[in-house]
Amino acid sequence: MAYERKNIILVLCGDVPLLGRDGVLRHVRNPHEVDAWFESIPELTLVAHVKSMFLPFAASAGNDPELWRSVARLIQKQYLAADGFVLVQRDGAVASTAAALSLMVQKLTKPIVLVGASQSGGKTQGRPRTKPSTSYDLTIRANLVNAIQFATLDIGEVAVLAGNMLYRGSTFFGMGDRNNETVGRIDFGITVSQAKTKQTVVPTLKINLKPRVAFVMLSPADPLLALQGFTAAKLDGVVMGIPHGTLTPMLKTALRNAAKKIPVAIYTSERSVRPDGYFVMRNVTQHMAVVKFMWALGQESQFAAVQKLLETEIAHEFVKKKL
Amino acid sequence: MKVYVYCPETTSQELHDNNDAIVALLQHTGVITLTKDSPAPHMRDNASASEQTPLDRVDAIVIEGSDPNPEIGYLLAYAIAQKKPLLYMTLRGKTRFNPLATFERNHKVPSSIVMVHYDAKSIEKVLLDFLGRLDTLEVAELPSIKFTLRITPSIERYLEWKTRNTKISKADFVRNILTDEIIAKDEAYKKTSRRVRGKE
Repeated sequence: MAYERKNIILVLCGDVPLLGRDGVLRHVRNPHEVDAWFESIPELTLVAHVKSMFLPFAASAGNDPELWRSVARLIQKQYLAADGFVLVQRDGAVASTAAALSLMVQKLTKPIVLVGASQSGGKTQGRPRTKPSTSYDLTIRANLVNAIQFATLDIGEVAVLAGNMLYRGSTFFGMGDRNNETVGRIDFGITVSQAKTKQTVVPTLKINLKPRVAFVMLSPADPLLALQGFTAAKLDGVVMGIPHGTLTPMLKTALRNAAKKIPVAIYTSERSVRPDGYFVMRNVTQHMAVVKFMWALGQESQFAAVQKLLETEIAHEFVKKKL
Repeated sequence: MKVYVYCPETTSQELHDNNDAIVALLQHTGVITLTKDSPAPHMRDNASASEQTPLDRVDAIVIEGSDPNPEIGYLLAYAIAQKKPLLYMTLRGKTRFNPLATFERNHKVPSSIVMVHYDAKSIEKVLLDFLGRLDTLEVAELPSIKFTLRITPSIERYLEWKTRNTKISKADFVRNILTDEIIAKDEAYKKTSRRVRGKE
């Protein structure tokens, strides 16, 4: 080619359903299957030099700290050789992974683009199909082309590709959410709102975290019930969502007592709520609240230091709109 | 019919003139011609926060690729992934750059991707030939464009009655009616379509 194509690392995270050119849906579960699948979508190589890699984790739609750590290490290891990264993962896991990578991989000067690999819907979901491609299947292939193209851009960002938009990973609410923060879009071509990065610096990894953190939304009907259940479980921490106006004195006392047994973080939009034996988190997405609490507990052990991390913006994760 | 025309920025006056000629010729045939700088406003607005991109909504892509540009690789990849017809034109004698050179060593290039050399005399013929071939190219005539239509309760009752105990979905039933009963029998549309594709 008369122009230099960039080098992109395409990482399949875990058991990912992907469609081959023959129209058959396959679950890619080991590196050998990845190569065969990659051969069936050769158009990706028109956009960039693409190297496909596979991380063998079990199918998961939720938080997977071990996967996040593995991805972060892989990115650091491949950083100088690659111009960008594309991660393909099940839809349900993308928001948490984006939040985690935003915190774990710091001083990023290259793009990390996450793409959800949805199960093809309809009656054949989960089973191999013999019918030719549907329009939805074409969309999956087009998403990968767009993700690779985004990953060739000179931006330092963890981002999620959803439809024709690229959203900031640290403030990604979920697919289709209007509050997602846009960093790029596909128009008749791709435009980004980020300033181009100029220097390449190997990113700093901060991958220590406490993996067993649960999220619970307090029920106004019986707010103490959830607390009792989670303090009895063997967890590293709990993030409690507080519906508006329900932090009563009795509840505060219960939270303080619970926080003596297990780290508790209150996730709230109420400005009046202050740390009091329990931590307070605000202005982040729910996914980021859980992930950042996991991460902060892994970085620091003293209460004040953890709370300071929760109040410090690490990766543009503070949402501009009022939550 | 909507066609997206991509002409990279160039310092060559000859290529600049050819780019203008391509757009003008397509517009003259009645095709809605979209470029990066001047897409149809409604397509740009509707593309925000959508599953579809403006590229999804065009019927074909035309690239003037005499000056190599990375975006050409992206458009080719997108066209192949989406089975979208694409005409790749290069000025005769200007370049030997073939963006598909590596690709076609190991893979079959879909017939929907048409690569031709042109000069000032043949530019119109090249474009008209491409438009005329759109019927026969390997394209994906698949329901890929989202179209939201609110229907009345009585229409819903009819569709429910008509498709119950069949293997046809309501959406497929409506698409079949449109294709077989309305479009196929619309002589005025067929005449316009043939004219646009240079068959008249």
